[in-house]
Amino acid sequence: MNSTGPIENWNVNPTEVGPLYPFVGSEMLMIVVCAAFFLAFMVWKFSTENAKYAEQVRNLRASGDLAKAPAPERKHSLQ
Amino acid sequence: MDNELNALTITFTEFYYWVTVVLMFLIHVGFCLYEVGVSREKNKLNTLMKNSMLIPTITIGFFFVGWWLYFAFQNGPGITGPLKSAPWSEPWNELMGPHMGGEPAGDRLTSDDTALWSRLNGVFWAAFLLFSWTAGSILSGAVIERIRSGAFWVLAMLVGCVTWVIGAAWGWSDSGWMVKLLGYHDAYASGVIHALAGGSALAILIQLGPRIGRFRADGTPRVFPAHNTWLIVIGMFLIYTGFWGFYAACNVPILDVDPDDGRSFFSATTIYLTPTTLSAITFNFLMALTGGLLVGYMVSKGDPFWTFQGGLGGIITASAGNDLYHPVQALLLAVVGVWCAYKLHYWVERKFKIDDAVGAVAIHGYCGAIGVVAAGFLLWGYPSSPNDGYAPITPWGQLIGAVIMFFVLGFIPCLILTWILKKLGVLRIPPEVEVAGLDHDILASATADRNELADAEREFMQSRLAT
Repeated sequence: MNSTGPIENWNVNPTEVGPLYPFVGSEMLMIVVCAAFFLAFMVWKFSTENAKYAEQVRNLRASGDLAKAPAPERKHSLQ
Repeated sequence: MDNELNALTITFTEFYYWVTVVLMFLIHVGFCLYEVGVSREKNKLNTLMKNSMLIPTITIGFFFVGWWLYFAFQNGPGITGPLKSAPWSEPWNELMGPHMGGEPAGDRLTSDDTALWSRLNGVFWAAFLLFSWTAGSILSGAVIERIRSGAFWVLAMLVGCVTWVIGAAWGWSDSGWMVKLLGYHDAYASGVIHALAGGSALAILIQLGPRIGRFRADGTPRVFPAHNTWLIVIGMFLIYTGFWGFYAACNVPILDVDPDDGRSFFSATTIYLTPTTLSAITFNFLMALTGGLLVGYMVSKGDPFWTFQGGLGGIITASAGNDLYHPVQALLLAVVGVWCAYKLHYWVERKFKIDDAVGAVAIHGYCGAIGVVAAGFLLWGYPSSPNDGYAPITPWGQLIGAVIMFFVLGFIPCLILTWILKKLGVLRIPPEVEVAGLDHDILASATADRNELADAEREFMQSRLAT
């Protein structure tokens, strides 16, 4: 049976066994995919963070809560 | 792995580093608890997530870049030699994954490379990675309650994946150019992690500015009461515990240190391959902790925050030479370092209006830099390496080393990156949100949920009583 990796039989000379993971030879592609995912994460973080704070500022200004700024800390607790 | 003794040595080394990594994980748990405890009620969840999420961001950066930088940059490059070849540390290399150590699949490696690195690469990489998390966490505490998480992660990646790793390549490797030319000695990373991260934190704090309300009109600081003292205490004890693991991780557990080819003498060594023992560093770790706790308690007149921080600062101050100091020297050095750091912290705070929420610049930056310089005097003339042609340890070599770590690799890169983030408008939380609390929306939502649930329970009971 074909295998996704270099291992097709464990009954071999161990000193001849190198990498164990599947798809040996595709490391660069995996790195590119991982890097793209991470870059997307960081872009998502910055864009959502900007949008979230802009909305929070609008809501806080509209609600008038800022005039009684410390109140939320005294009022709300998750403890 | 073809005879039992050889196999035992290799698997013991592999297991040794694995254990240190697990122990060092406690440093990060400790930092999270500590920071959340120090933050105010209205900011605690944001503080927790900001620090926790540096784990994945730094890990990815370190896998892609950091591990390779450590080996490739040991000559500068261009100071004592060119960029070094280190294919086992390239992220696409077969040794950056499960490997039996046999014949390499690609042509970038030799069979010697695979035999050496197949069982060490992962655990060695992880040990350095945990140091990287620590470097990031040191910044994290200083900047709580006003920095944006995205900006913080970018800064943490700069320090955790690039600058501290270059510092380690230069001054914390057996062939780093600072060791060769300056005789730089920093066995347990007073400079390469703590002074560097402290300098980085100072640069960020300058650009970031103090929290709203931190300073009175006359310039004196207001105290921001911690919301949970017990989290702080447990966090600090966990940091101490993890730091112990860090000390072990800085050693090579078993190596032939006899230069005579016809004889062998196996010992633990420092990262410079100079001999030391776990016994020696255990003496010194505990005595430095003791000195730091004593002077922290004394100088702060019994303040718990500074007492615990003093213990940490004591260890950091003595770390550069804790492979060689007498335990009493480690204790006395810790006393001097923590006393100076405490005084410097308040002087800098009042003079420059620097709001360092946890005293990170003092405990890591000042104690680390003081420790590096002090090692130059206490270990003056000691060989920095078993290799021929390396400079001995000197006060001027250590002083230059401290400046490189704190300012060149710590302060300057972070000042530049923080300035860019500030110009882009993504560095600091808007003042409205800072005043309302970074968890304002979550806490308001939790309150609404509680109220709705209470209403539902009340309705249920009313209908039940009505029947």
